Amino acid sequence: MNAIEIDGITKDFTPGLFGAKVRALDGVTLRIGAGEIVGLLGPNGSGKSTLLKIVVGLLAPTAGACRIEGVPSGRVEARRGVGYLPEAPDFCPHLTGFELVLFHARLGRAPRAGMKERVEAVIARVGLVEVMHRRIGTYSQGMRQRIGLAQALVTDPRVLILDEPTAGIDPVGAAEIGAMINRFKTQGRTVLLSSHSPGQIEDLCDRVALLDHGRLVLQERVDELTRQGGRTALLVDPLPEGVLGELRGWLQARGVEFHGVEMPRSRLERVFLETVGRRSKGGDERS
Amino acid sequence: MAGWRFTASGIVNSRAKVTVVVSAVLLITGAALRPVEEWVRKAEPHPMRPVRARRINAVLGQGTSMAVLGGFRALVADLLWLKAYLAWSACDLPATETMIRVVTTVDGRPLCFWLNGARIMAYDMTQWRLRAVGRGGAVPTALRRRITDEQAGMALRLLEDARGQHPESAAVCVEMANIHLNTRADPAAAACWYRQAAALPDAPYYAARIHAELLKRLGRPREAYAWLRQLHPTLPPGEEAAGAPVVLGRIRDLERALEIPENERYVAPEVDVVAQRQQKID
Amino acid sequence: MNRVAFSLARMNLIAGNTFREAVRQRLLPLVILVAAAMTGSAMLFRDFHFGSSELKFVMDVGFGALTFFGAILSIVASAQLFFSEIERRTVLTVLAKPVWRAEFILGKLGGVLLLLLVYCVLVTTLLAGLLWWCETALMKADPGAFEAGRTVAYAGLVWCGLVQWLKLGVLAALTLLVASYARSSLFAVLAGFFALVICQLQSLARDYYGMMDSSLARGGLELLGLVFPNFQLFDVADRVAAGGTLSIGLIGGIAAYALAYLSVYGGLAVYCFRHREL
Ligand SMILES: Nc1ncnc2c1ncn2[C@@H]1O[C@H](COP(=O)(O)OP(=O)(O)OP(=O)(O)O)[C@@H](O)[C@H]1O
Ligand SMILES: [Mg+2]
Repeated sequence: MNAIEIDGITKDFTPGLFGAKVRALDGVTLRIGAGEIVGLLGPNGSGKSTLLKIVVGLLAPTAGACRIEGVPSGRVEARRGVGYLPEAPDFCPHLTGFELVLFHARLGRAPRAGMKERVEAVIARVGLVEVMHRRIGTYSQGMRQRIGLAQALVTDPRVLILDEPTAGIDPVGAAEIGAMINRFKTQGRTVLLSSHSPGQIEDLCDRVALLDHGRLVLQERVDELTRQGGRTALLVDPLPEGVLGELRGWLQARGVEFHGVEMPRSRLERVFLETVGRRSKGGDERS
Repeated sequence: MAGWRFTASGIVNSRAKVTVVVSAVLLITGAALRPVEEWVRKAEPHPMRPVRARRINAVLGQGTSMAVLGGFRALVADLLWLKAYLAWSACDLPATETMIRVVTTVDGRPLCFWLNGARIMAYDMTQWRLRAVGRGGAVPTALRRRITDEQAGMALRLLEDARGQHPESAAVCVEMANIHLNTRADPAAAACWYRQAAALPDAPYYAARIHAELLKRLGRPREAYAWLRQLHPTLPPGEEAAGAPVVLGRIRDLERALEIPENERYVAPEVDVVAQRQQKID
Repeated sequence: MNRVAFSLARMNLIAGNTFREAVRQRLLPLVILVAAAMTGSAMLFRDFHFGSSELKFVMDVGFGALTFFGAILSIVASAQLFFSEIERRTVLTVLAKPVWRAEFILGKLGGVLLLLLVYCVLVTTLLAGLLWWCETALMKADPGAFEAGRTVAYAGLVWCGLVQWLKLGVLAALTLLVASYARSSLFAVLAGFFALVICQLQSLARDYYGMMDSSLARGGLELLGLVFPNFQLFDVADRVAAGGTLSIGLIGGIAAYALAYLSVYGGLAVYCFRHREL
């Protein structure tokens, strides 16, 4: 059985009482197997968030049907095994992070025994233990995103629906969340996430679904897509004068097409990851 | 209820449907609850009279009348009573009279507005007018008489209105009797009002006694005697304010004065008989 | 597939959370402070030396403040606590859990009712304390007027507080119904106040204009009277202050009326919310 089945979903919005219809989704069909990690990729306004809300059952589609583990999304029962992180969540500023996650744990009918410990463990997983008894009003954007992730995870869901899970999170945090999502895979959980960032989807997902103007224009396994062309990039130290020309000749002599030279663009990110990442690791060791 | 169903219709249709359903349910609810509403309205001990809106508007202006209608009637009446009090402190007769009238119109439920208002009209205002006319000197008896009568009339008219709203209130009747007695020196009218007061459920015991006293003073001792005879057995013996021994004493006085034969004299019920009767009632 | 049943526990959880938010927003403390200040200002009447009618004044001012600020609290809190969830999109995380929309909206209503209950209890208690204190002072000054003991009907006072709570609760449910349908918080607040005015005035309007010639206007008033509850029924505090009494039957009738409206408004709010796009 598929974990998520999306069948010909169409969604029209009518802003205002007599406004013109806006078609946010147009006949989207997508099937996601259990244990699969699928990324929705698309530009702003392409309908990613709308599709995810329909999957969770927060919006009713104009046409089509959607099922989670075989249960129609509109039913309350469908949400029993679901964790959902909305886009840019903003929680009640007067609650502490701990209170918020505890509240959602209770709503999700988690067993009472050991609930507090479980909540603390989840908060620790998203890296907010130090601030969990502070009011959410004092959190930064990224902390809010993390506490949002914690409330989605606290019921130990089989299906995770994450709308831009790393928006507003620093690269170290994004890498941590990426690692967490990868762990879900080994635990057999299903993840449907949306993102603007092709790189992130490439790193995390088994499959990518590309949305544009509400239409599903492409769905493919990520490794198939990236293997296309089968090219290889070499990464080397700065080349001395003239070596590039020699190298090119050498390759041509062996029948290998030379496509071009690029300066690696992610240097800053790597520097950031290496310095900040090492620091936070060191911090872990101290504590 | 099987979750909310996905509807194929557009939002405009859905919103229109919601609007229609909500309006219909509200109408049906209102109609169904009408009997309860009417019942609660009827259950009021002093049914609220609609305030005459025009009259209040004329005196108070639109804002205050809105407050009156908006559920702050008692509060507005209190504040207006303050105004009446200020006018009273300044011995301003027309203003005081107007404010008393307005207060009782706005909220006629508290008895104290009616009673205090009537007392001010009957006693204080008379004094003010006499002082103004006499300028320290003596006022001719005829003029004094007229002023006193006019003020008593004003107070009695107010109390008549009070009786319209509080027909069961003995305090209003007692107040009317007092005014007849004290300012108009009219014991006959006073006796009449004391009797009316005595017939009401919350009447003070003294009303009946004063009624008899006035009859005696009016030269109708037989009526007074008959009244007291039928009054005495109704008085609870244990209660001091009821004054059963006093009434019995007066009965004996009248019997002596009227020379009632021994065998026709009033026989007071034994205390324990009364007590037994009381027990039966309980 | 196991059905997920409507759960009172989850509704209470949402109600508790709503109440906590309202308290931490300082909404309740602020309103209670203002109402207390108003009630306290009734002490100014003492300067006039009215004797025992001073107590009536204190009671009238106290209940006036209770009703007035309670109505503001009821309307603003219902609209605000509902729309803050919508605007922050926290409603999405709540409803993404196995939670009925009915549980959410009735939980919100429950939270506001709890808030109003705390408000009514606190202000009524304060008022009773103030009256007791004033009465004690008056009894010392003028023992003759209090021969029969205390004159304030303290039990009646408690009933009045309860009836005010019912009234504010109906108003909150009405506002929540509007909010569950409306697009903006401002609209819900304005509509709430508008409804309050109609609820308060409609029965008087019917009395005045009942004999009107225009059957159109009369029909319109009748219609308003059917759609909106009659808040005049809840104005029992005046009566107690004026020395009247409240029978159990009367209070039962008022409570039945209020509970009927509460359940209808609650049900309709659930219905509207289930059809709402989030
Ligand atoms: N409640 C709504 N009312 C009207 N139109 C809406 C509503 N929600 C979304 N839309 C429209 O639907 C389309 C898809 O919006 P959606 O939020 O799903 O895009 P998205 O892919 O998530 O964009 P982003 O990357 O910016 O988050 C947009 O054109 C948007 O204007
Ligand atoms: Mg989006």
